[in-house]
Amino acid sequence: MSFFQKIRAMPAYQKVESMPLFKRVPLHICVGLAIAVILDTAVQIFWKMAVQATDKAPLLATFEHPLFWLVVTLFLLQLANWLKVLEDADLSYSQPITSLSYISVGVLSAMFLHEQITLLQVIGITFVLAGVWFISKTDHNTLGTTEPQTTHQSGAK
Amino acid sequence: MNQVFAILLIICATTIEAVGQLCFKKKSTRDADGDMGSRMWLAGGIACMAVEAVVWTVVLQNLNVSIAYPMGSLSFVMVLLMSRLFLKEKVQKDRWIGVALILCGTVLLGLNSAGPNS
Repeated sequence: MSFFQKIRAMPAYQKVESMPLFKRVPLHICVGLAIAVILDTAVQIFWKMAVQATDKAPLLATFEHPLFWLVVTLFLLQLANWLKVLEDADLSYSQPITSLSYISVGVLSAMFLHEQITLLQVIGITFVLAGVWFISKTDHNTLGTTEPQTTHQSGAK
Repeated sequence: MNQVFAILLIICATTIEAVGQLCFKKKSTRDADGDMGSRMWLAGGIACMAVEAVVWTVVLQNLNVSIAYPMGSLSFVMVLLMSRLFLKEKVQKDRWIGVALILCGTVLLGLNSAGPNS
């Protein structure tokens, strides 16, 4: 509420200037989250492909399939990147933002399976995007764990 | 197996997922000396993911994807609750609004898969 109250109290010309649509997120967090979403998407799609490719094969043959090892590699990369992201970002900030992969997986599988994207899906995607936008407006790190000295930043709120 | 049991399993799976994420965050958090968390946190996180994968397999054998898929995003709620309780992160109102919107979005995306192809 305080955000909206502040906005309401401003003169009109200030309202436009002081309401940036997107909060400035540090580059390394941005890149880390983007990689997380891309790898998450890749893991899901290749995993599904691997399952389909080895559907009728005996269990041991699964481990010989190149797709299986691709998934394992991607998964390890994802884990390493994720731990890096969490070094400087809240879990309650980063994890919900990875819901963007719901969108990328949906759009990519629609493209490759030649399905049509329905109106319902478009609305769903809009909701997810709106949710991520709300989260991206919050501070990415509310604990300040990266600073070795515990310098209290007052006036953060 | 009935659907109620499958839904209980989903809640179980999302809780395990959140615990796993909590472990990863603990691994990546530096203490006052600047040291990272113990390797045990990493092992715990990976163990959680493995257990979760098994639980999900059972869920998907018993429940339509259109119900299971959006319910899986309950993990975002679990993560927010646990981040607040155990990591003492400041979960602002905007984060709750964001997660609520994401939940609505995944429900809508899931509704579609209830269509002709499932």
